Amino acid sequence: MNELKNTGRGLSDIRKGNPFEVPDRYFEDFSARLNDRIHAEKGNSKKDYALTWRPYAAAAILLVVALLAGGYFLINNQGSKADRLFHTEISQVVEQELYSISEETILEVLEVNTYETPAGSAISSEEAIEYLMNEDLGEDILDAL
Amino acid sequence: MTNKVIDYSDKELLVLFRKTESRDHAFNLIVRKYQEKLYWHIRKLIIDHQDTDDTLQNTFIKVWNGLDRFREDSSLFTWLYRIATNEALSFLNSKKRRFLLPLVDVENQLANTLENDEYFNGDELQLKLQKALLTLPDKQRVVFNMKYFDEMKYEEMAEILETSVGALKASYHHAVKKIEKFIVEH
Repeated sequence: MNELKNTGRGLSDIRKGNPFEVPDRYFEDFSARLNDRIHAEKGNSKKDYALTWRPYAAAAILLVVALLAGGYFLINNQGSKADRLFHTEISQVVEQELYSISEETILEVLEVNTYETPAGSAISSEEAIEYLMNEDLGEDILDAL
Repeated sequence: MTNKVIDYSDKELLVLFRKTESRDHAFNLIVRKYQEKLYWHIRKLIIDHQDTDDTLQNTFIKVWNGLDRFREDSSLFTWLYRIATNEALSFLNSKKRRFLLPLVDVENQLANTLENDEYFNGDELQLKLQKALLTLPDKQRVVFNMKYFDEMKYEEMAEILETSVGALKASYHHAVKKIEKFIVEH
């Protein structure tokens, strides 16, 4: 070392050979160990594959179920919405139409369609029975009256 | 067995690998053919034998998984070296991140590993050279190792490291200067 410092020599003074060593039979055994590892990794990769796709499959199933449930809810909800919309629209139309009819017209119509007994035309029960007898009703019905 | 492996060209090995019936055998031959070269390439960067072993295995697992897609734009040797280099650099980066250590601490840790490594058989100067190398940036260390120890041509290195010959020459020159300075000063 001191010699190198003093002379300024460098790389050319160093033995170029390989200073490293390997354990006995390292190269003889290497390919067998490598094969073992490759086969072990093949096995692991199959397991990994199975472990990998299972959570995805579970997630996919959950997603499908959620979509179906969502779709079902949406369809039902849309139906009731439509019904509610229909009823609301009808009410609005009827209301608008009622506004367009004057109260006088309504009263007039009510008066015409109301059954009225002519004044002073009250019918006694005897008169009614006589009327019914003239109509040839059966005796059973007459007894019930 | 070793001679038989070396007898197969890379092209022949690739043809064998692409046939289902000889796929495993061809891969074994590729491993046997390149395991030592790649091991030493990784070991000089990572220093520790056990870490090198893990990284070498990771390298060959990547090769196993990617060899079907290898289009032979480069040679098999170049492709393997590139994977091994990337794996080694990734290992060093992950080590720095994992322990949240600044660069100098990783260097010190690797230097301690060298001193206590039962599989390091170098003399004092070789140990000093390795310690000097640990002061270089990782990529510069790769360049130095490939040129100095593996005696690769710059063109080959350029293909493996996907950089220009000029940049590699400059990098190697700087590395040598730093190493010589370190050796003189320590």
